[in-house]
Amino acid sequence: MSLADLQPLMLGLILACAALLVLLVDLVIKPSGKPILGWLTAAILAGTLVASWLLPLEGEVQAGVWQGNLWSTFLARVMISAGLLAVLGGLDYVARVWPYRQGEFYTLLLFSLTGMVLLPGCRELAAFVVCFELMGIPIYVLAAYSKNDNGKKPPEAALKLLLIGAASTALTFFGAALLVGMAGSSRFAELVPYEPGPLHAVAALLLLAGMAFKIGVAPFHMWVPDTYEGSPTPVVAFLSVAPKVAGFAALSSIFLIAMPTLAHAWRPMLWLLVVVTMVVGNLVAIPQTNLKRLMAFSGVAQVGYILLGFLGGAEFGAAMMLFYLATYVFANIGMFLIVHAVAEAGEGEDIVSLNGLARRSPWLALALLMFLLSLAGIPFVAGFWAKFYVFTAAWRAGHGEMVLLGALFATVALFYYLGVARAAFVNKSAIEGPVPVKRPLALAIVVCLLGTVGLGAWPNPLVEAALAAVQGLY
Amino acid sequence: MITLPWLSITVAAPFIATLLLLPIPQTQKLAMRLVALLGAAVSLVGALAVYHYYDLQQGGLQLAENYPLVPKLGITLRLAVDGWGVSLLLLTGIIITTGVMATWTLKDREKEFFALLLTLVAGVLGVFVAQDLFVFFLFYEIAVLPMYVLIAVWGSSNKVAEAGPFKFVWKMFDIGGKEYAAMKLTIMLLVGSAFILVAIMAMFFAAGGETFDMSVLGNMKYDLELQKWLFPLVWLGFGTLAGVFPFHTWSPDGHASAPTAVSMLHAGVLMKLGAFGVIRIGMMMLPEGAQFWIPVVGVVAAINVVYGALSAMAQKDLKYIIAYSSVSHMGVVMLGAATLTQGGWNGAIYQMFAHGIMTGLFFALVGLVYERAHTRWVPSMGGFAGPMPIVALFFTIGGLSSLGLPGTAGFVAEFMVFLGAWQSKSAWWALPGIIGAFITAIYVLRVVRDVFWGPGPSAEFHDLPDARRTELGALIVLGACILIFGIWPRLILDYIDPCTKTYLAKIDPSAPTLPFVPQQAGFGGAGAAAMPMHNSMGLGRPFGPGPGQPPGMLPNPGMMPRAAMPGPDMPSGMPRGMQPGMPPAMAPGMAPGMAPGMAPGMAPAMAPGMAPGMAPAMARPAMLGPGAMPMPPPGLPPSPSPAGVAPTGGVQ
Repeated sequence: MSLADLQPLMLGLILACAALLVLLVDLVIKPSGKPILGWLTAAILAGTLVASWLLPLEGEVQAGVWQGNLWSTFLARVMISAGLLAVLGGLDYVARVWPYRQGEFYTLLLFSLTGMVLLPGCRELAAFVVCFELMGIPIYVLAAYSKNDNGKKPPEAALKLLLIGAASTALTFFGAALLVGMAGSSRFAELVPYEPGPLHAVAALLLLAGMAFKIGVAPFHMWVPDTYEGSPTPVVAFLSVAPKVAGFAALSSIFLIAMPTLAHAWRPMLWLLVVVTMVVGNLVAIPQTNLKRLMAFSGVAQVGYILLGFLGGAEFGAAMMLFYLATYVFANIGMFLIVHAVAEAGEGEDIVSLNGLARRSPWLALALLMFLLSLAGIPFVAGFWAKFYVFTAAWRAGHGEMVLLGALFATVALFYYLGVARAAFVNKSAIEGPVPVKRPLALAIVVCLLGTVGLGAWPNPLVEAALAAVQGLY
Repeated sequence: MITLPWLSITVAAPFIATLLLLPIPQTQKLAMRLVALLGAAVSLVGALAVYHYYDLQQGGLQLAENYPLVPKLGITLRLAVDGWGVSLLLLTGIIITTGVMATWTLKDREKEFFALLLTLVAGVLGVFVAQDLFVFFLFYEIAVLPMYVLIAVWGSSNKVAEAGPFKFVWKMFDIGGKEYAAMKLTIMLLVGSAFILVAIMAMFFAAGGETFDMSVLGNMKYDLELQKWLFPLVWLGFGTLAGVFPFHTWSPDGHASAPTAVSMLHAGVLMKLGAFGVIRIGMMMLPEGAQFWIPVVGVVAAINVVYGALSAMAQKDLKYIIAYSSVSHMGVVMLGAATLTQGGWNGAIYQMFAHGIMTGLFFALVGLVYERAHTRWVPSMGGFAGPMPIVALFFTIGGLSSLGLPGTAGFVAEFMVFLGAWQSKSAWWALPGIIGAFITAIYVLRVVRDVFWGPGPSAEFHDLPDARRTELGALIVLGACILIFGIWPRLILDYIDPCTKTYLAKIDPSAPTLPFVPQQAGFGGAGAAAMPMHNSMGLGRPFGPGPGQPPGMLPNPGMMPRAAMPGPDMPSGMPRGMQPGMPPAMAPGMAPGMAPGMAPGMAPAMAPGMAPGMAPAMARPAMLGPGAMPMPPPGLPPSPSPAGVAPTGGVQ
C-alpha cells in the first residue's frame, strides 16, 4: 500500500497532522504568543475547507473499508465549517480564560473533527467505531474544560456527558458485536443477510439507541440541557452542531447503507422517536429561562425535524437531511455565538440578558432575529427551506401525518423563539451602550448571518449539491 | 403600451423602500417618513398602472412575469393578475398609502416601524399577484409575521375585565395586553398556515410533484376523497386569517392592540388575504371538496355575520367595536363566497374592497381620536363633533357604509352578496346577512351618536385638535373612495365580474348569474357607449318564477338563461346573456325595450346607478315593455346549454 492509496482520506489526515502540529507549536512558543494557536487552527481549518474542493477525494481505501465520495466530502465540509466558526467565535474567550491550555483545546477540537470527517466514509464496523470514539472522547474533555469556573456546573455537565456517552458507546458496541458475531464479517455489505433474523433486529435497535444518545433524540436527550448549560459556550456552539452532523452521518451509514433490509424493524421505532422528540423538545423548551437550556431543547426539537428527512428515506430524504444540517450549522452556531457575545459582555445567559439588544446593538439583534427565524422555519431564511424540504421528503415517503405534526410543532417552536426575539426587540434594558463584540467573533457571526440569509434567498445551489452528494450512495 | 414590469414594481416597491430605510439615521425622521410614503405611493401608482393596463376585453390573467426560483422543485416566481387581483391590488395600494399618512406623527422607533410595515405590505401585494402556489404561500407568510413585532412594540394594551367561567386565564396571561394579543395573533395564524402548507404539499404531490403553477394545479382533477379532506384544511387555514368563527378570536385583540396603520392594514387588507385564499385556492382548486363543505362554510359565515355584529354591539371600547365589526363584515365576504353564485362572488370580492376601505377609514379615525383624547372608552366620550368636525364627518360616512346605506360602497357589496345568497341553494342564508346588517345599523349609529353627535364634550375634551395635513389627506382619500365606489361600482366591478364568471363556470357551470351587472369592458369608452344594457334581461331566479317572485310579475321563460355566458363561437358584437342559438336580430330589439327612451349613449352614465340600487326598479318596466317580452323565437333553446358557459378568456 502506498501513500497515494490514502488520497481519499486526505481531509482526515490533514486534520490529524494539524492537531499534532498545534500540539508541537504549543510546546515551543511563549505563553504570551499562544493566541497564535487559535489563528493557526482557524487557518488550517479554512485551508482544509478550500482543499476539499481542490483535492481528489473520491475512491476506495483498503478495498472498500473506507469510501470517499461526494457524500463524505459534503459532510466533511459541513463539519469543518462548524469547527471553523466555533474556533473563530471562541478565539478571544479561549485566550482569555485558559491562557495556558490553549494548545490542548485546539488539539482536542482538531482530533474530534478528524474523527467526524472520517466517519461518513466508513464501510466497516471497526473503523466506524474507532472514528466514532475519536469524535466523542475529545468532546468529553472539552465539555469539562472550564472545571475551575465558579458558579457554573461544569463538572456535572461533563460527567453527565461522559457517563451517558459511555452508556451509548456500550449500547453501540453491543449491537455491533451482535452483528459481527452473526455475520462473521465487519464489512457493511456483509453485515446483514437478505433475510435478517430477530437478533438482527435487536442489534439494530441497540445501535439506534446508542446513536440516539449521541444526537440527543428524546428520550435519550437528558444530558443535552445540562451539558449545554454547564459547558463553555464556544464549546457548546461546536458541540451542538458538529457531533450531530456526524451522528446523522453515522445513522445513515448504519441504517441506510448497512441494513436496508432491516427497515421494517427500525423504521417504526424511528417513527416513534421522531414523534417523541418533536413533542418533548418543543414543549419542554417553552418554560426555559436560560438561553442555553432553551437552545438545548430547541436542538432536540430540531433533531426531530432532521430525522424526518431520514425517515423520508431514499436519496431525496437523505439529501434534504444534508441540506437541513447545513442550514442548521449556520443558524445554531450563530445563535450560540450571540449568546456568547452577550454573556461576555457580562449580562449572563438568561433570556432576560438579551433585553433591549435591538437598541443597544441593532445589527447583533438583527442577526439574532435571522437565526431565530431560521430555526423556526420562517420563509426567506435558510431554515424555512430546510423544513420545507424535509417535509417534502417525508411526504414522498408517505408520512403525511408527520408533516402535519411537524408544521404544528413548528408553530409551537415559534412561541419560544419569539419569546427570545421579544426580549431583544420589545423589552427594555437598564444597560445602555452597545454589546462589545471581538473581531473574530464578529466575523463568525457575519458568516453565519450570510449563510442563513443567503441560503434563504437562494437555496438552489446547496440543494443541488446535496442531491448530487447522495447520488449512488446506496 | 409601456411594457414596464408593473407587477414586480408594485410588489417590490415597499421592499426596496425598506432597504432604503435601513441606513437612514434615527434622527432623520422626515426622511424616513418620506421614504416610507414614497414606497407606498409607488405601490399605489403601480396598482393604478396595473388597473390601467389590464385589458378588460381580453380578461383572464395578464401582465405575467416569470422568474425561475427553485427549478428542481418546480417553484417559479410567477406573477400575473386577474380582475380580482387588480381590485385587491388597488385596495392595498390605497390602504398602505393612507396608512403611512395616518401614522405620520408616530414618535417611537419610526425606522423599524415603517420597515416592518412595508415588508408586510410587500407580502400582501405578492399574494394577490402570485400564480405559483408556493410563492403564494411564501408571500402569505411574509404578510403574517412582521405583525408580531409591530403589535408587540408599537401596540397599546387594553383593559379587558375579568369575566366568565375562564377567569383563571387572566392570571395566566396578560389578557388584553399587547404582547398577549401579538402572540395570540401570530400563533393562531401560523397554526393556520401549517394547515395550508400541508394542503399545498398534498396538492403538489397529487398533481405529480412537477410544478407549483396554480393554473396547472387548478386544472387538475383531484380525487374526490382527497378534496374532501383538503378543503377544510385550506378553509380553516386561510379562514383563520379571514376571521372565520370560532377562529376569529385573535382579530379583536390583535386589531385593538395594534397601532393605527397596522390595524388599518390588518383589518383592511390582511383579512382579505384569508378570504381570497379560501376562494382562490380552496374553492377554485378544490371545487368538489368545496361543493361538499359549502353548507358548513355558509352556516359558519352566517354565524360570523350575526355573532360578530352582536359582539360589536356589546363592546364599550371603540377599537373593539370596529374590530368585531370586521369579524361580522368578513362573515359577509365568506357568505358571498359560499353562495357559489355570480352575485355572491362579485359581492364577496366587492365587499373585500369596500370593507377594506371602510375599515381603513375607521381605524385611521379611531387612531386619531385615541391619539388626541387618550381614551377609547365610548361611555367617557361624547360630542366630539364639536372640537373635531372633520373626524366626525368621516366617521359618519364610514358608519353609513358599514351599515350598508345605498350610495356607499358597503351597500353595493352587501346587496350583491344577499342577492347571491338568495339565488343559491340555501336561500335562507340571506336572512342572517340581513339581520347582521340590521344589528350593524344599531351599533354603528349608537357609536356615532355617543361619540360624536351626543351631548358633550366634557371639559377635558374641549380642545381636541381636528385632523390635520397628512391625516386629513388620508381621510379624504378613504372617504372619497367609499362614496366613489358606492356611486360608481363599475369602476372595479367591470374587473371583478368577468373574472368571477370565468372562475365560477369552472366550478359550477349551472351557477346562477347576477341579473344586472354590466358585462362589457371599458366604462366611459366608445365601446361601452354602444353597448346596450342587455344583461338586465338575463334575469335569474329572483325575478323569475320562484319564491322570490314579486306578486303580479310575469314570468319570462324565454329570457332566463341561468348561465348567461357567450359561447366561444359567438359573434363578438353580440351581447352576452344570449344563447348562441338566439338570432342576432334580438339584440337591437332589446336595447330600446329595456330602457325606453334612453339613448344608447346614456348607457354608461346610467350603469353605475343601475348596478346597486336602481336596477330592479328600472328593469321591471323594461321587462314589461314590448321589446323585452316577446315569446321566445323558435330557434331559442328553452334551457341553458352547457356549451354556453365556456369561458372566453381562460385562466391559462
